[in-house]
Amino acid sequence: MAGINELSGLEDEDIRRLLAKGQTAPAFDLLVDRYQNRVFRLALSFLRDRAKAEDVAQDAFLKLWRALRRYDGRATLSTWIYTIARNTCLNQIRRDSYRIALSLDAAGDVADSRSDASPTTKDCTALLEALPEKNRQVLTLFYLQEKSYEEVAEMLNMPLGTVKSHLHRAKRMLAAMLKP
Amino acid sequence: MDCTDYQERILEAMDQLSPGVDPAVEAHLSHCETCRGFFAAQQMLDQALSAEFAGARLSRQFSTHLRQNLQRESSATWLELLPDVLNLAGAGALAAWASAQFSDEPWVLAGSFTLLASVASLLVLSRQHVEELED
Repeated sequence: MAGINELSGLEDEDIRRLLAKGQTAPAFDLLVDRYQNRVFRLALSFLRDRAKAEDVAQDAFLKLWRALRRYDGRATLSTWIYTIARNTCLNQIRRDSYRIALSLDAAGDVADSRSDASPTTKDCTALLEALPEKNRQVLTLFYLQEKSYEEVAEMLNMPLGTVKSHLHRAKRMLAAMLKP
Repeated sequence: MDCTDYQERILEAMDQLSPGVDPAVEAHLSHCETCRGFFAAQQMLDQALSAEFAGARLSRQFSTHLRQNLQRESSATWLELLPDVLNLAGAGALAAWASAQFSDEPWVLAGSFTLLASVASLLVLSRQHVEELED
């Protein structure tokens, strides 16, 4: 994890330099440009709804703007951004009482209802709903981030090994659901 | 190695951690129907999930909306301070009006009363506006 953070730290050196000079507005523009899609994808992995994810991304960037002057550089910029983004997502989920209790029984129901072994995109979405929440989120974010373990680990503040085990567990469960 | 180990290698290959399925796995697949089925299922899933999620991007309006929200936010911040500024101004006007009571000039009393009334009206209006923004 340290390696990832160091890399992100170097990537964001230009933003940090602007912030050190008190140039908050240009620093924020760069930050938005660099992180808007990543924050959106992170929100999408939490909320599963594009419109909601976009609204939450807006909220997260407004919070980042308010907090930017207080950014003290103790955490890397990416870690700080993802922390605010994750908290904004969790607040939204709390506000919406967005709770889905998934169980392996539900996964069984989905698998039982299938007659065709080849999953279409629509089927995939339905199958994902049957996965335990963390496994589903890691799998979704892995594909949203174009298969980067490192990005997923940083965005969810999770060790690489944990990302890998959630991901493979999800894939094994999906394969099991597809068995005729 | 048993089937679980081979399947783990298949998953790692699918995650693009290794360039392809290694020869040992290929040899195993040639005689293990279970792992062949697992490999086929993973290939289908990988294609479907990539099609569903890869490269999801924000709408084009996102930046425009964000700029609008930031502008609204900065004007709201300014307006949030306005009642406090007007409170101070009101205190000043009240002091001026009180001291004008002792003045022999009628225009001083009238002027300070007008100032006090204006500040009070602005204070009420600004509070209403801030409440609207907070809603």
